[in-house]
Order: sequence, then C-alpha cells, then structure tokens
Amino acid sequence: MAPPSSLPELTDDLIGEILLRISPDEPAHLFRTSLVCRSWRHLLSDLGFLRRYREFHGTPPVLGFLNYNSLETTTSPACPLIPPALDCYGCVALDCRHGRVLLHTIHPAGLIVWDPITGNQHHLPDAPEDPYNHLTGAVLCAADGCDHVDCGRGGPFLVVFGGTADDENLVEGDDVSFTWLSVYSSATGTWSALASAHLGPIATSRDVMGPSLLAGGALHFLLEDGRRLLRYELGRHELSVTNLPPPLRVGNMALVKAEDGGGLGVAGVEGYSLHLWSWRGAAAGWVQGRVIELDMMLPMTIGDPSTRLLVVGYSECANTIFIHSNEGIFTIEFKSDRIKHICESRDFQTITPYASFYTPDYAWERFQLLVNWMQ
Amino acid sequence: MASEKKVVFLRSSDGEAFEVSEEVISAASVTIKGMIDEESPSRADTAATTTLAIPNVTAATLSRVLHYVNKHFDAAAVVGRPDDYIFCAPGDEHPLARFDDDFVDVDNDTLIDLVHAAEYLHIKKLFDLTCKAVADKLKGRTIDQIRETFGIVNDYTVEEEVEVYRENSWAF
Repeated sequence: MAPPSSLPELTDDLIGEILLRISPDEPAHLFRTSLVCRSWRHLLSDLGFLRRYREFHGTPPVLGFLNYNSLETTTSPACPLIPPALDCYGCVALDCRHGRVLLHTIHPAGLIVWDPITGNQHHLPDAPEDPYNHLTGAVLCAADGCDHVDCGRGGPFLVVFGGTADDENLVEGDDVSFTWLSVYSSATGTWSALASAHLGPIATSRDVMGPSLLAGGALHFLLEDGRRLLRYELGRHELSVTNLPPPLRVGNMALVKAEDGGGLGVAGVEGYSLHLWSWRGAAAGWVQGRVIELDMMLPMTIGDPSTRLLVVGYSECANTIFIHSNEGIFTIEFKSDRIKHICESRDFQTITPYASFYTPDYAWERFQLLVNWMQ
Repeated sequence: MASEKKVVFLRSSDGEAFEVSEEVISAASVTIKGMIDEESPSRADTAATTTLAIPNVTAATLSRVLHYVNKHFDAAAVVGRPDDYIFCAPGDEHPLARFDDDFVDVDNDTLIDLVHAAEYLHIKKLFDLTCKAVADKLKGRTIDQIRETFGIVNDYTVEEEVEVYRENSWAF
C-alpha cells in the first residue's frame, strides 16, 4: 500500500497551470503566493509567465475609479497606486483605457497621460483648440494589431481631445454651436489639425459631451446626456453627429460594447431595470437587447420613492458598468453578470473607471522608477 | 452510420474496468482517441471489444472522470452544440455550470488526482475546471495552509522570507 497521504507530486508545469488561473480581480492573491516557496516565487517573477497570465485572462479587472482626479481603489487589500504629482488647479480625469488615464487640468491648461501603477506622467504639448466650454477626451492604444495586454506600458498612444462652444462662447459671426476635435500621436509628438462639426442649438444638459466608446474604428461620445451622439472616424479624421438618440431616458445611460458583436451599444436604467441596446447602422437603427432586472440583483427598497438607480460609469476594457444606488456603487460585469459592491453611496454622478492588470512585473517597474527618481 | 454504438473498456491502475461509449470518450480525451486510433486496424470488422489500460489513473478517479465526460457529452447533445456553456449568454442557467461547481466541490486529494487524470487523458475542459478549482482554493488560505495543502516545504531562509514578505507586504 502506498502511504495514505502521499499526493502525486505536482510538477512545475502543473503548478504553473494552477497559478495561471488565479483570478486577477484581487491582485493581492498573486503577490501573496510568492511567499509559499522559492519555485513559486520564481514562476511569479517570470516575465513570460506573467505575460501568459494576462493573455489567459484577457480582460483586466477594475482596480478602482476616479472622481475628478482622486483615484479610489476598490480591491481588497488596495493595490499600491501612485497619485499624479500635479502642480495645477482643477484637474479632472477624462478617460482610462488599457491602463492609461487621461487627465485634463484647467490652470495651467493641459493634458496628462498618467499610469497609476508606475506613477509615470506624460505631459502633452498644448492642443490646438477653438473656443469651448464643454470638453471631452479619450486615450487610445496606437500599436498595430495590439492585443492590449501590455500596451499601456510604453507602447505608442493617441489622445483625442474635443470641445464644444455653445451660444455664449461663440466666436463673433458664428450663429450655431460647433464641436471640434484634435488628435495627438505619441509617436510623432504632434497634434493633428482640427476636425469639426456643427451642432445647432444645444439642449441644457448635465454633460454636453460624455465619455467615449471605441467601436468599429470610431470613437463615439454621448452628447447632451444622450439626446444625440458624436462620432469620430479615426481613419478618416471625420466628425459627425447622429440625431437619432438611443431610446432611453436622457441623463441615465452610458455607451457600452454591444453584446452581439462588440459594436456600439448603450445601457440605461428604466425603473429598476438596465436596458441594453445595440446600434445596427442607419437602416436598422437601435435594436433592443437584454433587460437586466436590477431589483433581483442589487439590494434596494422597491416602491420607496427615494430608491434611485443611476448609471455613473462604464469601463470599456473590463466591460463593466457602474450603477449608483442608495446602498452604494455596484459594478456589473456584462460577460458574467457578476456584481460587486465597491463603495458606499456618494455624492457624485459620474466617475471614470480604472481597469488594469496588476502583476508583480508591473510592481517592479514602479519600484525601478522610484529607485531612478531617488538617485 | 453504424447501427450499433461501439464501446471500449478502460482499465484503471488498480485493475477495475469501466465501459464507455467510444464516441463519447474519443470526443473528450485526446489521449484515449489516440489509443483507439492506434488499435483500429487490428479491430476492424471484429466483434471483439477493446480494453485500454490507463495505468496512471485509479478506479475512484476514473469513475469520476467518466461521470464528467458522459454528463458533458449528453448535455452537448441536448442543446445541439458543443458544451461551451462558458460562452453562453449571461443569465442562461446552464445545467452544466451547476454540475461543474458540484463536481469540483471535493477534498483536496481528490481534486489533485483529477488534475493529474485530466492532464494525462488530455481532457482540456476538465483540466481547466480542476486547475481553476485548485487556484480558487488558494484564495482564502494562509501561506502555511497553502504549503500544507500542497505538501510544500518552505525552502526560504528566514532572511529571504522576511525580504519577500516585505516586498509584498501590502498584499497581506
């Protein structure tokens, strides 16, 4: 008889297969297992293994969110992130994609691409701009055929910055509101010429220009809380406005990846449900998709007039929507319908989700930068 | 089309034979499909059933593996598509998801045996499922418990261990 407790030994390959499947949602688990023994630490320090780890999981986890420029981590324990070193007044996060955060500062006016893991900051040269009193922006990976697993660390990127001037801020002689947009390339270090579109009269809105969704080679922005859409064709550098709005309550929706194919979609709260729609082109228009019954998933008092559900953000990278309820902010991951309570109820209406892998090699990069900085 | 479904017998390391449909096991296990293909020329047109020796897997584990394989094959036939329920639309209550959860809700030794069997038999979905279940078990455990679970000897010196802990202290 074999000794009763002798397990067939796990080979290094099998250990690797097991560690590969540790969920990235709570990065601490991966870091903690380094302490088990030397061979585990060796594996968890191997750049090839860590890249494979990110490829295996594909979708980065939500690590936190930004409200203006303050980054709040939502993992437990919190991953060490480095706040931006800013010497300015009025800073707000406009976008986050593939680990990069785009910040806009008012005084002095400027744009910064910031990596919260390493603390790296890239200050952009002044953008060519026309008058504006509403603005939006997006940061995108510019690498050809990129799988976006590692591109946030050193790869080329684009920043799209756009503004809208309404009646009060028009240049003399113009009689309609117009929107303009310019693109910065990190590869050339330059801004493009402006692309522009006329909007006509603008409805009073909380957000005249909303955050972006990248789909089908174009960036889409909600205009006037969802009354209209702005579309920017990246390849053609063309700006256009769609007047056919998503059929949802204005002011309580976000652009999301469509569930049927990842194109342009929108999700909005109606009553106690989240309604998903996808855009099928000018001919077919908006087509209704799933309806997610939030009252079955989130704690809430049904019928209580104070019960209010608000769409406050969407992470394109993590395909996760953020819903604010009386009980706090919840994330819903669309692929799995997994729900997480991330913080208590707050007094804000929009946030910028921050999603990224957080693996030991990223942490060293941060450590290395810190060492270089001290020398 | 064959009018009669062929079966094969799998003999475990401890000598127990299990009957399984050739179609089912060939679809699930790359290793056994290879063994059957190798045997094929000699068994053409004969009524003899084949018995394949599976020397690395015990009867207890093999019986579990076959339960998994049969269940997934049947479910795939019912829904008329491969058992890729992981990619079903969210909210779909796929019966296999519940089955899989229960299947890996077993003690550690049984689970590790299943990992080894899935690797040897080359059953990808079962390998994914069992490795993921082991990874999930790591989450709630202390370092000492993980070492105990896997029979790992702590080979750090005290100084090294303190250093590695310090590097990753935020995670504890």
